[in-house]
Amino acid sequence: MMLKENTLLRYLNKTASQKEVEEVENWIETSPENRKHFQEMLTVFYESNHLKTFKTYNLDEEWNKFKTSAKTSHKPIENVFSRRKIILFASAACLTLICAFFFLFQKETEILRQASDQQLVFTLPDQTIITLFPHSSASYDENFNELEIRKVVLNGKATFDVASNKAKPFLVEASLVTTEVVGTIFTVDSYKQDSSFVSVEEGQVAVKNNMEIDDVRILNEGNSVSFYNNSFGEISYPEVIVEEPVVKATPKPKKKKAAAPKPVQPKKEIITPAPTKPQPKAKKAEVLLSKYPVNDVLNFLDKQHPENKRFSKSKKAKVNKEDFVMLNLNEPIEKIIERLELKYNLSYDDEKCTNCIDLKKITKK
Amino acid sequence: MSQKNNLIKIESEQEFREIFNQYFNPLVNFINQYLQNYEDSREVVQSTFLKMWDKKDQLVIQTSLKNYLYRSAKNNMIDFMRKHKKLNIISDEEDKILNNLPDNEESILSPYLIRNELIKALEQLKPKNKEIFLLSKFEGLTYEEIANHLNISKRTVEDNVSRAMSSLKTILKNNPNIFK
Repeated sequence: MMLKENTLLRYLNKTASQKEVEEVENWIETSPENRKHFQEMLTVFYESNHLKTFKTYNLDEEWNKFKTSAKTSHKPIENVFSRRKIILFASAACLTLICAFFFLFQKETEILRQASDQQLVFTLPDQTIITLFPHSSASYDENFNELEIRKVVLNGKATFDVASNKAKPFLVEASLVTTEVVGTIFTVDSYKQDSSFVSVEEGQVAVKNNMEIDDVRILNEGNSVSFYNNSFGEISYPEVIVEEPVVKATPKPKKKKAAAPKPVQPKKEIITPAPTKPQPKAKKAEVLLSKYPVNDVLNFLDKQHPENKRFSKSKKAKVNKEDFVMLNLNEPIEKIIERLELKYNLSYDDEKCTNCIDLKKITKK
Repeated sequence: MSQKNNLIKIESEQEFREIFNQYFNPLVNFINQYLQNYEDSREVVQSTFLKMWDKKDQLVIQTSLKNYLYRSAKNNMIDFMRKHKKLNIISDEEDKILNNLPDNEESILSPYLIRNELIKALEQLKPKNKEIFLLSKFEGLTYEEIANHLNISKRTVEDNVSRAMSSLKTILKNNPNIFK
Protein backbone atom coordinates (compact mmCIF):
# COMPACT_ATOMS: atom_id res chain seq x y z
CA MET A 1 0.00 0.00 0.00
CA MET A 2 1.46 3.31 -1.06
CA LEU A 3 0.67 6.61 0.63
CA LYS A 4 0.77 9.89 -1.21
CA GLU A 5 3.31 12.32 0.29
CA ASN A 6 0.68 15.09 0.13
CA THR A 7 -1.71 13.04 2.26
CA LEU A 8 0.98 12.49 4.89
CA LEU A 9 1.83 16.21 4.82
CA ARG A 10 -1.82 17.16 5.32
CA TYR A 11 -1.96 14.63 8.17
CA LEU A 12 1.08 16.30 9.79
CA ASN A 13 -0.35 19.76 9.11
CA LYS A 14 -3.65 18.60 10.63
CA THR A 15 -5.48 19.62 7.48
CA ALA A 16 -6.27 16.08 6.39
CA SER A 17 -9.86 14.91 6.04
CA GLN A 18 -11.21 12.18 8.31
CA LYS A 19 -10.83 9.71 5.48
CA GLU A 20 -7.20 10.74 4.93
CA VAL A 21 -6.49 10.45 8.67
CA GLU A 22 -7.80 6.89 8.73
CA GLU A 23 -5.83 6.12 5.61
CA VAL A 24 -2.56 7.36 7.14
CA GLU A 25 -3.09 5.61 10.46
CA ASN A 26 -3.88 2.37 8.71
CA TRP A 27 -0.81 2.78 6.60
CA ILE A 28 1.40 3.32 9.71
CA GLU A 29 0.06 0.12 11.26
CA THR A 30 0.64 -1.90 8.13
CA SER A 31 4.41 -2.43 8.58
CA PRO A 32 7.36 -1.41 10.82
CA GLU A 33 8.97 0.20 7.79
CA ASN A 34 5.91 2.43 7.35
CA ARG A 35 6.04 3.34 11.04
CA LYS A 36 9.73 4.16 10.76
CA HIS A 37 9.15 6.20 7.65
CA PHE A 38 6.39 8.09 9.44
CA GLN A 39 8.62 8.74 12.48
CA GLU A 40 11.36 10.14 10.26
CA MET A 41 8.95 12.35 8.35
CA LEU A 42 7.49 13.52 11.64
CA THR A 43 10.99 14.46 12.85
CA VAL A 44 11.76 16.40 9.67
CA PHE A 45 8.37 18.10 9.80
CA TYR A 46 8.68 19.03 13.48
CA GLU A 47 12.31 20.16 13.40
CA SER A 48 11.84 22.07 10.18
CA ASN A 49 9.23 24.14 11.97
CA HIS A 50 12.05 25.35 14.30
CA LEU A 51 14.43 26.29 11.54
CA LYS A 52 13.13 29.82 11.61
CA THR A 53 14.74 30.34 15.03
CA PHE A 54 17.87 28.34 14.30
CA LYS A 55 20.75 30.75 13.84
CA THR A 56 23.74 29.63 11.85
CA TYR A 57 27.15 31.22 11.89
CA ASN A 58 29.56 31.03 9.02
CA LEU A 59 31.76 28.15 10.07
CA ASP A 60 34.83 29.31 8.15
CA GLU A 61 34.70 32.66 9.91
CA GLU A 62 34.12 31.02 13.27
CA TRP A 63 36.97 28.59 12.68
CA ASN A 64 39.31 31.47 11.82
CA LYS A 65 38.25 33.30 14.98
CA PHE A 66 38.81 30.14 16.92
CA LYS A 67 42.24 29.59 15.46
CA THR A 68 43.20 33.19 16.14
CA SER A 69 42.08 32.84 19.73
CA ALA A 70 43.89 29.55 20.11
CA LYS A 71 47.12 31.09 18.81
CA THR A 72 46.98 34.53 20.41
CA SER A 73 44.61 34.87 23.29
CA HIS A 74 45.56 31.52 24.71
CA LYS A 75 49.28 32.19 24.77
CA PRO A 76 48.77 35.32 26.81
CA ILE A 77 46.71 33.28 29.23
CA GLU A 78 49.76 31.10 29.74
CA ASN A 79 51.92 34.21 29.95
CA VAL A 80 49.60 35.75 32.49
CA PHE A 81 49.79 32.54 34.45
CA SER A 82 53.55 32.62 34.25
CA ARG A 83 53.54 36.27 35.26
CA ARG A 84 51.31 35.42 38.17
CA LYS A 85 53.71 32.66 39.13
CA ILE A 86 56.61 35.08 38.94
CA ILE A 87 54.71 37.64 41.00
CA LEU A 88 53.86 34.96 43.54
CA PHE A 89 57.46 33.82 43.77
CA ALA A 90 58.65 37.42 43.98
CA SER A 91 56.13 38.17 46.71
CA ALA A 92 57.18 35.10 48.65
CA ALA A 93 60.83 36.05 48.28
CA CYS A 94 60.12 39.63 49.40
CA LEU A 95 58.16 38.37 52.37
CA THR A 96 61.00 36.07 53.34
CA LEU A 97 63.48 38.91 53.03
CA ILE A 98 61.28 41.24 55.05
CA CYS A 99 60.92 38.58 57.75
CA ALA A 100 64.66 37.98 57.73
CA PHE A 101 65.36 41.70 57.99
CA PHE A 102 62.74 41.98 60.69
CA PHE A 103 64.39 39.30 62.79
CA LEU A 104 67.85 40.68 62.13
CA PHE A 105 66.60 44.12 62.96
CA GLN A 106 65.03 42.72 66.09
CA LYS A 107 68.45 41.57 67.18
CA GLU A 108 69.98 44.88 66.30
CA THR A 109 67.39 46.79 68.29
CA GLU A 110 69.12 45.59 71.42
CA ILE A 111 71.19 48.38 72.85
CA LEU A 112 74.53 47.41 74.28
CA ARG A 113 76.37 49.63 76.75
CA GLN A 114 79.93 48.76 77.67
CA ALA A 115 82.21 50.17 80.29
CA SER A 116 85.88 50.23 79.46
CA ASP A 117 88.47 50.94 82.16
CA GLN A 118 86.14 53.33 83.91
CA GLN A 119 82.67 53.12 85.27
CA LEU A 120 79.84 54.04 82.99
CA VAL A 121 76.68 55.58 84.33
CA PHE A 122 73.69 55.73 82.05
CA THR A 123 69.96 56.05 82.34
CA LEU A 124 67.47 53.63 80.85
CA PRO A 125 64.34 54.92 79.13
CA ASP A 126 62.34 54.29 82.32
CA GLN A 127 64.77 56.51 84.28
CA THR A 128 66.48 53.57 85.95
CA ILE A 129 70.11 54.49 86.55
CA ILE A 130 72.67 51.84 85.83
CA THR A 131 76.25 52.13 86.90
CA LEU A 132 78.40 49.73 84.97
CA PHE A 133 81.63 48.80 86.58
CA PRO A 134 84.80 48.62 84.50
CA HIS A 135 84.83 46.00 81.78
CA SER A 136 81.16 45.25 82.27
CA SER A 137 78.37 45.46 79.75
CA ALA A 138 74.61 45.66 79.82
CA SER A 139 72.14 45.26 77.01
CA TYR A 140 68.46 46.06 76.77
CA ASP A 141 65.77 46.29 74.14
CA GLU A 142 65.42 49.50 72.22
CA ASN A 143 61.70 49.44 72.99
CA PHE A 144 62.48 48.97 76.66
CA ASN A 145 59.60 51.12 77.88
CA GLU A 146 57.03 49.40 75.70
CA LEU A 147 57.76 45.89 76.96
CA GLU A 148 55.81 44.32 79.78
CA ILE A 149 58.98 43.26 81.54
CA ARG A 150 61.97 45.56 81.82
CA LYS A 151 64.94 43.33 81.23
CA VAL A 152 68.63 44.05 81.25
CA VAL A 153 71.23 41.43 80.43
CA LEU A 154 74.33 42.00 82.48
CA ASN A 155 77.82 40.79 81.87
CA GLY A 156 80.07 41.84 84.72
CA LYS A 157 79.04 44.10 87.57
CA ALA A 158 76.55 46.92 87.85
CA THR A 159 74.50 48.84 90.35
CA PHE A 160 70.89 49.46 89.49
CA ASP A 161 68.83 52.33 90.85
CA VAL A 162 65.56 51.05 89.51
CA ALA A 163 62.73 53.44 88.75
CA SER A 164 59.70 52.18 90.60
CA ASN A 165 57.01 50.67 88.43
CA LYS A 166 55.05 47.86 90.01
CA ALA A 167 53.29 47.09 86.76
CA LYS A 168 56.56 46.33 85.04
CA PRO A 169 58.98 44.07 86.86
CA PHE A 170 62.63 44.79 86.35
CA LEU A 171 64.87 41.83 85.57
CA VAL A 172 68.62 41.70 85.58
CA GLU A 173 69.79 38.58 83.87
CA ALA A 174 73.35 37.59 84.66
CA SER A 175 75.08 34.41 83.63
CA LEU A 176 74.13 32.49 86.78
CA VAL A 177 71.33 34.39 88.44
CA THR A 178 68.42 36.58 87.47
CA THR A 179 67.39 39.35 89.82
CA GLU A 180 63.84 40.60 89.74
CA VAL A 181 62.84 43.86 91.33
CA VAL A 182 60.15 46.49 91.32
CA GLY A 183 61.95 49.58 92.43
CA THR A 184 65.14 49.54 94.39
CA ILE A 185 68.85 50.07 94.42
CA PHE A 186 70.98 47.01 94.21
CA THR A 187 74.22 45.69 92.81
CA VAL A 188 74.77 42.59 90.79
CA ASP A 189 78.32 41.37 90.58
CA SER A 190 78.83 38.69 87.99
CA TYR A 191 82.41 39.42 87.14
CA LYS A 192 83.44 35.91 87.91
CA GLN A 193 82.37 33.10 85.67
CA ASP A 194 81.48 30.77 88.51
CA SER A 195 79.96 33.14 91.05
CA SER A 196 77.63 36.10 91.44
CA PHE A 197 76.92 38.51 94.23
CA VAL A 198 73.78 40.57 94.72
CA SER A 199 73.37 43.22 97.38
CA VAL A 200 70.31 45.38 97.97
CA GLU A 201 70.56 48.93 99.10
CA GLU A 202 66.90 49.81 98.97
CA GLY A 203 63.71 47.90 98.35
CA GLN A 204 63.35 44.22 97.71
CA VAL A 205 64.59 41.89 95.04
CA ALA A 206 64.16 38.25 94.13
CA VAL A 207 67.31 36.49 93.00
CA LYS A 208 66.72 33.41 90.91
CA ASN A 209 69.05 30.61 90.04
CA ASN A 210 69.14 30.52 86.26
CA MET A 211 69.53 26.76 86.32
CA GLU A 212 66.66 26.04 88.70
CA ILE A 213 63.53 28.12 88.39
CA ASP A 214 62.31 27.36 91.91
CA ASP A 215 65.59 28.27 93.54
CA VAL A 216 64.87 31.84 94.61
CA ARG A 217 66.20 34.11 97.33
CA ILE A 218 64.31 37.19 98.47
CA LEU A 219 66.58 40.00 99.49
CA ASN A 220 65.39 42.99 101.47
CA GLU A 221 67.05 46.26 102.05
CA GLY A 222 70.59 45.68 103.19
CA ASN A 223 70.58 41.99 102.35
CA SER A 224 73.11 40.41 100.10
CA VAL A 225 73.68 36.93 98.81
CA SER A 226 76.40 35.19 96.96
CA PHE A 227 75.93 32.49 94.38
CA TYR A 228 78.68 29.96 93.96
CA ASN A 229 78.99 26.41 92.77
CA ASN A 230 75.45 26.49 91.41
CA SER A 231 73.91 27.32 94.75
CA PHE A 232 73.15 30.32 96.90
CA GLY A 233 75.17 31.11 99.97
CA GLU A 234 73.75 32.40 103.24
CA ILE A 235 71.87 35.65 102.98
CA SER A 236 73.77 38.36 104.72
CA TYR A 237 71.53 40.46 106.97
CA PRO A 238 72.45 43.88 108.24
CA GLU A 239 73.19 43.97 111.90
CA VAL A 240 71.32 46.36 114.05
CA ILE A 241 72.36 49.36 116.04
CA VAL A 242 70.70 49.12 119.38
CA GLU A 243 71.59 52.38 120.88
CA GLU A 244 68.22 53.74 121.82
CA PRO A 245 64.87 52.06 121.70
CA VAL A 246 63.20 55.15 120.34
CA VAL A 247 63.95 55.93 116.79
CA LYS A 248 63.86 59.64 116.54
CA ALA A 249 67.02 60.85 115.10
CA THR A 250 67.70 64.54 114.78
CA PRO A 251 67.29 65.66 111.20
CA LYS A 252 70.76 67.05 111.25
CA PRO A 253 73.23 65.33 113.44
CA LYS A 254 75.39 67.57 115.51
CA LYS A 255 78.68 68.22 113.92
CA LYS A 256 81.53 66.93 115.90
CA LYS A 257 85.10 67.86 115.66
CA ALA A 258 87.01 66.28 112.89
CA ALA A 259 88.88 64.07 115.25
CA ALA A 260 85.75 62.96 116.95
CA PRO A 261 84.96 59.30 116.54
CA LYS A 262 81.37 59.99 115.52
CA PRO A 263 81.34 62.68 112.91
CA VAL A 264 78.34 61.17 111.24
CA GLN A 265 75.29 60.51 113.32
CA PRO A 266 73.67 57.37 112.02
CA LYS A 267 69.94 57.47 111.78
CA LYS A 268 68.90 55.13 114.49
CA GLU A 269 66.46 53.19 112.50
CA ILE A 270 66.16 49.50 112.88
CA ILE A 271 66.10 47.81 109.54
CA THR A 272 65.64 44.18 110.25
CA PRO A 273 64.60 42.47 112.31
CA ALA A 274 62.15 44.46 114.44
CA PRO A 275 63.74 47.00 116.76
CA THR A 276 61.96 45.85 119.86
CA LYS A 277 63.66 42.50 119.78
CA PRO A 278 67.22 42.95 118.78
CA GLN A 279 69.07 39.91 117.68
CA PRO A 280 71.67 38.56 119.97
CA LYS A 281 74.29 39.39 117.43
CA ALA A 282 73.27 43.02 117.57
CA LYS A 283 74.25 43.21 121.19
CA LYS A 284 77.81 43.22 120.05
CA ALA A 285 77.10 46.73 118.81
CA GLU A 286 78.86 45.86 115.63
CA VAL A 287 77.14 47.99 113.08
CA LEU A 288 77.25 46.45 109.65
CA LEU A 289 74.70 48.44 107.68
CA SER A 290 72.74 51.46 108.54
CA LYS A 291 71.40 54.68 107.17
CA TYR A 292 73.52 57.76 107.41
CA PRO A 293 72.60 61.28 106.28
CA VAL A 294 74.46 61.51 103.05
CA ASN A 295 75.42 65.12 103.52
CA ASP A 296 77.08 64.36 106.84
CA VAL A 297 78.97 61.46 105.36
CA LEU A 298 80.29 63.61 102.54
CA ASN A 299 81.25 66.44 104.89
CA PHE A 300 82.95 64.00 107.18
CA LEU A 301 84.99 62.59 104.37
CA ASP A 302 85.92 66.07 103.24
CA LYS A 303 86.94 67.14 106.69
CA GLN A 304 88.90 64.00 107.26
CA HIS A 305 90.91 64.75 104.20
CA PRO A 306 90.89 68.46 103.58
CA GLU A 307 93.84 68.14 101.25
CA ASN A 308 91.93 65.72 99.07
CA LYS A 309 88.58 67.40 98.73
CA ARG A 310 87.80 65.83 95.47
CA PHE A 311 84.08 65.62 95.72
CA SER A 312 82.87 68.09 93.20
CA LYS A 313 81.17 70.99 94.93
CA SER A 314 78.71 71.47 92.14
CA LYS A 315 77.76 67.83 92.23
CA LYS A 316 77.64 67.80 95.98
CA ALA A 317 75.22 70.67 95.81
CA LYS A 318 72.85 68.50 93.84
CA VAL A 319 72.78 65.84 96.51
CA ASN A 320 69.58 65.91 98.48
CA LYS A 321 70.61 66.92 101.98
CA GLU A 322 67.73 64.98 103.42
CA ASP A 323 68.84 61.82 101.70
CA PHE A 324 70.33 58.87 103.47
CA VAL A 325 72.87 56.40 102.36
CA MET A 326 73.16 52.79 103.40
CA LEU A 327 76.61 51.98 104.64
CA ASN A 328 77.91 48.58 105.45
CA LEU A 329 80.76 49.40 107.75
CA ASN A 330 82.24 45.97 107.34
CA GLU A 331 82.84 46.71 103.72
CA PRO A 332 86.19 48.09 102.68
CA ILE A 333 86.22 51.86 102.74
CA GLU A 334 86.76 51.98 98.98
CA LYS A 335 83.50 50.14 98.51
CA ILE A 336 81.68 52.72 100.56
CA ILE A 337 83.20 55.55 98.62
CA GLU A 338 82.44 53.67 95.44
CA ARG A 339 78.82 53.45 96.43
CA LEU A 340 78.65 57.14 97.11
CA GLU A 341 80.28 57.85 93.80
CA LEU A 342 77.87 55.62 91.99
CA LYS A 343 74.75 56.81 93.66
CA TYR A 344 75.45 60.52 93.38
CA ASN A 345 77.70 60.46 90.38
CA LEU A 346 80.49 61.96 92.44
CA SER A 347 84.15 61.54 91.88
CA TYR A 348 86.49 60.87 94.74
CA ASP A 349 90.00 59.69 94.71
CA ASP A 350 90.10 57.29 97.57
CA GLU A 351 93.66 56.15 97.33
CA LYS A 352 94.85 58.33 100.15
CA CYS A 353 91.71 57.88 102.15
CA THR A 354 91.63 54.16 102.35
CA ASN A 355 93.89 54.03 105.36
CA CYS A 356 92.68 57.08 107.14
CA ILE A 357 88.94 56.72 107.23
CA ASP A 358 87.57 54.26 109.61
CA LEU A 359 83.86 54.52 109.60
CA LYS A 360 83.62 51.80 112.12
CA LYS A 361 84.92 54.27 114.59
CA ILE A 362 82.06 56.55 113.78
CA THR A 363 79.54 54.31 115.31
CA LYS A 364 81.61 53.01 118.11
CA LYS A 365 81.07 54.76 121.37
CA MET B 1 39.83 10.50 15.20
CA SER B 2 40.56 7.09 16.61
CA GLN B 3 38.27 5.00 18.73
CA LYS B 4 39.54 2.17 20.92
CA ASN B 5 37.58 0.44 23.64
CA ASN B 6 35.00 3.24 23.51
CA LEU B 7 37.77 5.84 24.01
CA ILE B 8 37.93 8.66 21.47
CA LYS B 9 41.14 10.51 20.72
CA ILE B 10 41.45 13.46 18.35
CA GLU B 11 44.58 12.99 16.32
CA SER B 12 44.69 15.90 13.88
CA GLU B 13 43.55 19.45 13.33
CA GLN B 14 41.41 18.27 10.44
CA GLU B 15 39.53 15.96 12.76
CA PHE B 16 39.09 18.80 15.18
CA ARG B 17 37.80 21.05 12.40
CA GLU B 18 35.20 18.44 11.44
CA ILE B 19 33.96 18.28 15.00
CA PHE B 20 33.89 22.07 15.11
CA ASN B 21 31.83 22.27 11.92
CA GLN B 22 29.40 19.64 13.08
CA TYR B 23 28.77 20.96 16.56
CA PHE B 24 29.42 24.70 16.57
CA ASN B 25 26.00 25.93 15.43
CA PRO B 26 23.96 23.30 17.30
CA LEU B 27 25.80 24.18 20.50
CA VAL B 28 25.32 27.93 19.98
CA ASN B 29 21.57 27.43 19.52
CA PHE B 30 21.40 25.08 22.49
CA ILE B 31 23.18 27.55 24.76
CA ASN B 32 21.06 30.39 23.44
CA GLN B 33 18.00 28.66 24.84
CA TYR B 34 19.35 29.67 28.26
CA LEU B 35 21.37 32.81 27.65
CA GLN B 36 18.92 34.31 25.17
CA ASN B 37 21.81 36.09 23.54
CA TYR B 38 23.47 34.69 20.44
CA GLU B 39 26.72 36.59 20.83
CA ASP B 40 27.16 35.38 24.40
CA SER B 41 26.24 31.88 23.30
CA ARG B 42 28.78 32.05 20.50
CA GLU B 43 31.43 33.17 23.05
CA VAL B 44 30.60 30.25 25.33
CA VAL B 45 30.92 27.77 22.48
CA GLN B 46 34.18 29.31 21.26
CA SER B 47 35.49 28.97 24.81
CA THR B 48 34.32 25.35 24.92
CA PHE B 49 36.27 24.52 21.78
CA LEU B 50 39.31 26.47 22.98
CA LYS B 51 39.45 24.40 26.15
CA MET B 52 39.04 21.25 24.12
CA TRP B 53 41.81 22.42 21.78
CA ASP B 54 44.12 23.13 24.70
CA LYS B 55 43.97 19.57 25.88
CA LYS B 56 43.41 17.85 22.60
CA ASP B 57 46.71 15.98 22.88
CA GLN B 58 45.77 14.50 26.21
CA LEU B 59 42.05 14.37 25.58
CA VAL B 60 40.52 10.93 25.65
CA ILE B 61 36.73 10.97 25.54
CA GLN B 62 35.27 8.10 27.43
CA THR B 63 31.63 8.71 26.54
CA SER B 64 30.27 9.90 23.19
CA LEU B 65 31.68 13.00 21.56
CA LYS B 66 28.20 14.50 21.59
CA ASN B 67 27.89 13.89 25.31
CA TYR B 68 31.34 15.32 26.00
CA LEU B 69 30.60 18.53 24.08
CA TYR B 70 27.20 18.87 25.66
CA ARG B 71 28.63 18.61 29.18
CA SER B 72 31.54 20.85 28.39
CA ALA B 73 29.31 23.53 26.84
CA LYS B 74 26.90 23.32 29.74
CA ASN B 75 29.68 23.82 32.28
CA ASN B 76 31.13 26.71 30.31
CA MET B 77 27.70 28.29 30.19
CA ILE B 78 27.40 28.05 33.99
CA ASP B 79 30.84 29.62 34.35
CA PHE B 80 29.85 32.35 31.94
CA MET B 81 26.66 33.01 33.90
CA ARG B 82 28.59 33.28 37.14
CA LYS B 83 31.20 35.50 35.59
CA HIS B 84 28.84 37.88 33.87
CA LYS B 85 25.85 37.53 36.17
CA LYS B 86 23.64 36.81 33.21
CA LEU B 87 19.93 36.48 33.80
CA ASN B 88 20.51 37.57 37.40
CA ILE B 89 21.83 34.14 38.06
CA ILE B 90 22.08 33.22 41.65
CA SER B 91 23.02 29.89 43.05
CA ASP B 92 19.44 28.59 43.25
CA GLU B 93 18.84 29.46 39.65
CA GLU B 94 22.10 27.87 38.67
CA ASP B 95 21.03 24.74 40.45
CA LYS B 96 17.70 24.91 38.73
CA ILE B 97 19.34 25.15 35.35
CA LEU B 98 21.69 22.33 36.15
CA ASN B 99 18.85 20.21 37.42
CA ASN B 100 16.75 20.92 34.37
CA LEU B 101 19.55 20.00 32.04
CA PRO B 102 19.54 16.27 31.54
CA ASP B 103 22.75 14.36 31.95
CA ASN B 104 22.13 12.52 28.73
CA GLU B 105 22.69 14.66 25.68
CA GLU B 106 20.39 12.63 23.44
CA SER B 107 17.20 14.23 24.59
CA ILE B 108 18.44 17.79 24.43
CA LEU B 109 21.22 18.19 21.90
CA SER B 110 19.89 15.95 19.16
CA PRO B 111 17.17 18.36 17.95
CA TYR B 112 19.82 21.05 17.45
CA LEU B 113 21.97 18.64 15.53
CA ILE B 114 18.99 17.66 13.35
CA ARG B 115 18.12 21.29 12.66
CA ASN B 116 21.70 21.94 11.76
CA GLU B 117 21.68 19.04 9.34
CA LEU B 118 18.38 20.20 7.90
CA ILE B 119 19.86 23.62 7.17
CA LYS B 120 22.78 22.00 5.41
CA ALA B 121 20.49 19.61 3.57
CA LEU B 122 18.39 22.46 2.17
CA GLU B 123 21.26 23.22 -0.20
CA GLN B 124 20.69 19.88 -1.85
CA LEU B 125 17.02 20.52 -2.65
CA LYS B 126 15.78 21.47 -6.05
CA PRO B 127 15.52 25.26 -6.31
CA LYS B 128 11.74 25.34 -6.60
CA ASN B 129 11.33 22.92 -3.71
CA LYS B 130 13.77 24.88 -1.63
CA GLU B 131 12.15 28.25 -2.37
CA ILE B 132 8.68 27.08 -1.44
CA PHE B 133 9.99 25.15 1.60
CA LEU B 134 11.81 28.28 2.87
CA LEU B 135 8.72 30.46 2.37
CA SER B 136 6.74 27.99 4.38
CA LYS B 137 9.20 27.19 7.21
CA PHE B 138 11.29 30.32 7.47
CA GLU B 139 8.87 33.02 6.39
CA GLY B 140 5.91 31.33 8.05
CA LEU B 141 3.61 31.84 5.04
CA THR B 142 0.57 29.63 4.60
CA TYR B 143 0.29 27.46 1.48
CA GLU B 144 -2.35 29.82 0.16
CA GLU B 145 -0.11 32.88 0.71
CA ILE B 146 2.76 31.12 -1.04
CA ALA B 147 0.43 30.19 -3.90
CA ASN B 148 -0.67 33.78 -4.29
CA HIS B 149 2.88 35.07 -3.91
CA LEU B 150 4.27 32.70 -6.58
CA ASN B 151 1.09 32.75 -8.61
CA ILE B 152 0.74 28.98 -8.49
CA SER B 153 -1.94 26.69 -7.15
CA LYS B 154 -2.15 25.68 -3.53
CA ARG B 155 -1.82 22.06 -4.61
CA THR B 156 1.50 22.84 -6.31
CA VAL B 157 2.78 24.44 -3.11
CA GLU B 158 1.75 21.36 -1.18
CA ASP B 159 3.46 19.08 -3.63
CA ASN B 160 6.71 21.04 -3.44
CA VAL B 161 6.73 21.07 0.34
CA SER B 162 6.03 17.33 0.40
CA ARG B 163 8.85 16.64 -2.02
CA ALA B 164 11.21 18.86 -0.04
CA MET B 165 10.43 17.03 3.18
CA SER B 166 10.81 13.67 1.56
CA SER B 167 14.18 14.72 0.12
CA LEU B 168 15.36 16.08 3.45
CA LYS B 169 14.38 12.86 5.19
CA THR B 170 16.35 10.88 2.64
CA ILE B 171 19.39 13.12 3.06
CA LEU B 172 19.24 12.88 6.84
CA LYS B 173 18.71 9.15 6.68
CA ASN B 174 22.19 8.88 5.21
CA ASN B 175 23.61 10.77 8.21
CA PRO B 176 24.54 8.20 10.88
CA ASN B 177 24.20 10.82 13.61
CA ILE B 178 20.54 11.62 12.88
CA PHE B 179 18.48 8.59 12.02
CA LYS B 180 19.93 5.38 13.40
